[in-house]
Amino acid sequence: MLLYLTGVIYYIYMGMLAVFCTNAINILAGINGLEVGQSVVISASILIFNSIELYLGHQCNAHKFSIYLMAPFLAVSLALWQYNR
Amino acid sequence: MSTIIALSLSLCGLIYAFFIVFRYPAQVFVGDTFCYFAGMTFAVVGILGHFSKTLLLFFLPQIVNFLYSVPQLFGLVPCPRHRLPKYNSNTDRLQISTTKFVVSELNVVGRLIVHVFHFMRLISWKTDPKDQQKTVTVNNFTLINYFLVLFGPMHEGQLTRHLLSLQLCCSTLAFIIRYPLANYFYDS
Repeated sequence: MLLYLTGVIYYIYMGMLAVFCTNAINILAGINGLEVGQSVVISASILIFNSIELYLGHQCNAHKFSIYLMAPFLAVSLALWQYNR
Repeated sequence: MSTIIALSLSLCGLIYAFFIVFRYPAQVFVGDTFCYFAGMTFAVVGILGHFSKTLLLFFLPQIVNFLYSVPQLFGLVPCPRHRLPKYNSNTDRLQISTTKFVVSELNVVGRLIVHVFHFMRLISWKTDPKDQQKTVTVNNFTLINYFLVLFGPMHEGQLTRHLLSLQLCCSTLAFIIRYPLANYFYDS
């Protein structure tokens, strides 16, 4: 019973995390290059973190998947940042 | 083999982005769409990659900004439509945008929050001695305005650079918290 409850709470946590991330970037926004700049910093940090975890051998598939999404995202954000700074 | 191809293609994109010459400021503007796209990408990567707590560590400035904004977001303190800093074309700098209210007209929680923030010097506080109603002018509760309260009016490019260096410092702090401290707590 308790195990079932923690499963439900995790789904709620996932949903809230998704909503939180989008709106958190949205309110720290409005001046030249701030949204794209912060996305560049965060995606670069995630890439570094993924590389370290891959090197340490933790959860390889999960971190490889994350790199597949974050590397193009970083590239696109950098390109957009040149025009938005 | 396919992983190598995928990674090198991504790296090519990265290098190409770097090869684009620095252009004039802001030829392109992003709106809510980019924020939602970026936010969802980070959330997806964090959830499916099983590192959502580390992801939240990288989001420290955003979390701080959200907590600071809560009084206005939840209506405890009056919230204007736009809370961005005001542009002063004479000095070419950004200044704080403000909101006015009468302290006694707020509800209990609002009054408590306003007094605590004022005591901790988290907001700017201006009263007009000639005003009978004692309206108070405070800065809008966002991190951008708070930087302008701390450092005075500044040029937009300078403000962006300050905020992005805060983001970098918080990322470094996140790595420090994640690695040595996590080992200490989880002990594996």
